[in-house]
Amino acid sequence: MRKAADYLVGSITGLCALVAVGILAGLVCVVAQRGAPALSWPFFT
Amino acid sequence: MTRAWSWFFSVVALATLAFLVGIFVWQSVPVWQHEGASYVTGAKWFFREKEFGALPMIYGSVVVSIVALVLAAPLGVGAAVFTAEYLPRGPRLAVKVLIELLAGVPSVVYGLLGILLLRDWIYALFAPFDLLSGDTLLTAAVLLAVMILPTIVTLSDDALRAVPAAQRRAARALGLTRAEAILHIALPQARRGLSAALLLAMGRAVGETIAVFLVVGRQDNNLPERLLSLRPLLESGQTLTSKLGSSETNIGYGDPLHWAAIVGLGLILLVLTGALTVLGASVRRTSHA
Repeated sequence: MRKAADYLVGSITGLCALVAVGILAGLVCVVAQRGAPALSWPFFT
Repeated sequence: MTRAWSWFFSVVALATLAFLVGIFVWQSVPVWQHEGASYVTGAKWFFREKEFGALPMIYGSVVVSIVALVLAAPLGVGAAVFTAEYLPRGPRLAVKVLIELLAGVPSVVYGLLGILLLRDWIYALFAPFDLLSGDTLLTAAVLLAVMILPTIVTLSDDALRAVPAAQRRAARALGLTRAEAILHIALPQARRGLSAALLLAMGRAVGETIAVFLVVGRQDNNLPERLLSLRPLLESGQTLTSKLGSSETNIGYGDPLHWAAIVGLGLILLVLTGALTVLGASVRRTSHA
């Protein structure tokens, strides 16, 4: 029982960390994905 | 000598803050004289009729910040527990650096993402509730939750790492599992630091402007009849910051009373964020003492 609780706490907090990093990194990816097509030399100049 | 300089700079900082508050108070005097207490308790804001009630905006700011905190706190603290207690030093630093880098993403970029993704998701998700648009208080709250997540993770991680490792080792030596050591030793000892992290994150949420401005809908006078109802979260609203960021600030400069009302909103915001920041910083300092 204690071992299961130990495993559960580790899994839940690990999932939280994964979701937090996933959300934040995902947002950067979306910006890159949506913004990249607009980038070209004439866009800057 | 160092002590004298420390005092000098503290006095300069305090004097600057007092000067700032003084200017806000002085500039907002006309509206306090005109409206009295109903400036804070009034629900109607019609500047052409010289009617200024800030309550819907105070409600918007408070509700959006609280919902953001409720959404971000469990995830942020959970992630911090994992990075501080489970990850070895290398991966922990990598995750921490990544999250701290993301804390530096400009808020207007988050606002664009809110328009790009969140607005449509909220509109589709709550379609059965007959939403008028995806620009709602909830959209702003979810966006703010994402924005304050790095602050919560990194400050909570610091708070947990501040608990002496010897106490964890002693707990493990006594036969506690790692989860028990976290729940009964690390978390209770770090509770002041964790509270400070949440308060500072909420301070950031209350003061956030441009991202909220882009997705909150900016509808004036939308104060719900039942303040504790969840339904108003699915309607457009206005926060103190979104009002101050709007063109009305420029319009108001021409009329002393209107300008005073705008500056009064700034004063209320300053008091709210200042109180949260001071409270958070003092709780944090006590946790390190």
